[in-house]
Amino acid sequence: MTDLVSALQIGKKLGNGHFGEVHLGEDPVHGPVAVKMYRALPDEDPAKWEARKAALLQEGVNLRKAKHRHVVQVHHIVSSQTDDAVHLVMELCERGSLQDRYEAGPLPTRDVHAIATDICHGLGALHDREMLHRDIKPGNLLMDGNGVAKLGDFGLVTDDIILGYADIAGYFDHLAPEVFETGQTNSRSDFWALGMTLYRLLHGDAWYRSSPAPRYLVRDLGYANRLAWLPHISSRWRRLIRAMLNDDPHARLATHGKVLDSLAAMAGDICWEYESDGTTSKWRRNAKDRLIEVILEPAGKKWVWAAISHPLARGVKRTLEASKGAVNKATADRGIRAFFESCL
Amino acid sequence: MNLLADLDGAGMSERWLGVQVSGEGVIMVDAEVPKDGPITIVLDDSFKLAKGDRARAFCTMYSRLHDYAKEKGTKRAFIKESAVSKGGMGKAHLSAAELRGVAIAALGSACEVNLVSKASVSRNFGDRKMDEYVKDESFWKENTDGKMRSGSREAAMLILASR
Repeated sequence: MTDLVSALQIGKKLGNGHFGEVHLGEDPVHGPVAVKMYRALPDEDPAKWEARKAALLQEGVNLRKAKHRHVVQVHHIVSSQTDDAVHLVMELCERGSLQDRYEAGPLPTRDVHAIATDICHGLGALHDREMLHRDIKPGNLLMDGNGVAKLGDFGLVTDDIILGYADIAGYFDHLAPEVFETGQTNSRSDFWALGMTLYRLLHGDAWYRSSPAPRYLVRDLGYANRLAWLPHISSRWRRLIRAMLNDDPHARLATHGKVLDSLAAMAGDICWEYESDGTTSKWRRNAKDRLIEVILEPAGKKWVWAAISHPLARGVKRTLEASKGAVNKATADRGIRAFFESCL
Repeated sequence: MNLLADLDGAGMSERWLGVQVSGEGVIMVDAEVPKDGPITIVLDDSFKLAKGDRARAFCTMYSRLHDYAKEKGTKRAFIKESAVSKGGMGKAHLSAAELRGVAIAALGSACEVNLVSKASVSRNFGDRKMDEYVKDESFWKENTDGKMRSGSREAAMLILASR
């Protein structure tokens, strides 16, 4: 057989995947691509390297079988002539993973809604093909150039399903209680992980890290009832996420169709932009020719808040609602929450 | 759930969808249809149309319907076609017709699509009009071993009349 030389050009490093580095590449057929690179380490045992190569090849096979517009597509696998490197050539998702956006702060509910809808389609297709993802988290959700969300990093995907279960794996903070108990994952534990991911995207990294990590709490059950919520997260979002984080896997909201139905019901909900400097919190949204702004700030040891409607052009500023003077934090949170709910 | 259409023999079965569209969403009955013998209802479900942005809602519905038919290996889909309403045409009819177009395109990209009129169901199934069958509790009690909602009955009738 003739030895063929790939015309794939490797460019700058984009990030790290589950098993290897990811670089920008230029493929003569597909144009810009993402290239996940596996390379034998200098002191790596040849047997271990063979095992890692096998894992990469398996990931490629998994990705090919999982072809769907909301799943990152694998184009081909290239092995170096010296056999010390294997390259997985994949669809390039220009906007990268959601990890950076998550770390920067809470995403607008409208964006999380769109991401959740896209990912549900992709996850549903995986499950219909009896495959599991097992590692759903912000860093594994990728955005293409058109803002379409896709499931990526299939290092842990398996179709090796025995009675619907696969061995324990995945990001420790996204493991469902039954996974801790039985050591096995299934499609329902993927939905738990998706519920955790949506919660994190809605709240951002700083908020998420202000509570104890789920890995220490999930085993005790009732985790969903202990979640702390930002006040603008609506009852509908809370119900959806709590239902996806139901301790009982059989009572859990764990089919993509049911999740999509819940998302459909909240699709037109008002979206607030949120920002906080760690002390003062601000929410904003545009409503026709006005800007609605809600500000929560400290007043000594207590807190004050006000919802104010500003004209974008001519008109007068109006206070829509406000705390009755300085109040304690819990009272302020309840007041703001009630205001947001009244806007739905 | 079984629809007891004919008890003689059973050949290779195909997956068929009966689809009823309103402005609110899509009711879908998914059935295994053998050449002869009872039809087995695999799924009786409704997909709600998302509120808010209509383009995004249609896009989501397109994906759901296309993916469903593709992943389940659906061979044929029977969609109740648009009809002129004697009581006048309101916005709800137009909204339903818009969504029907989405359903036709989505399912048509994954399987064979047939548009079925009420009149053709009445002609091809039994000796009564479709609406009479849909309302006839005893017919459904006698011919199914589960409960079906009114919209699902219409969707199931599309399959029954097409075999």
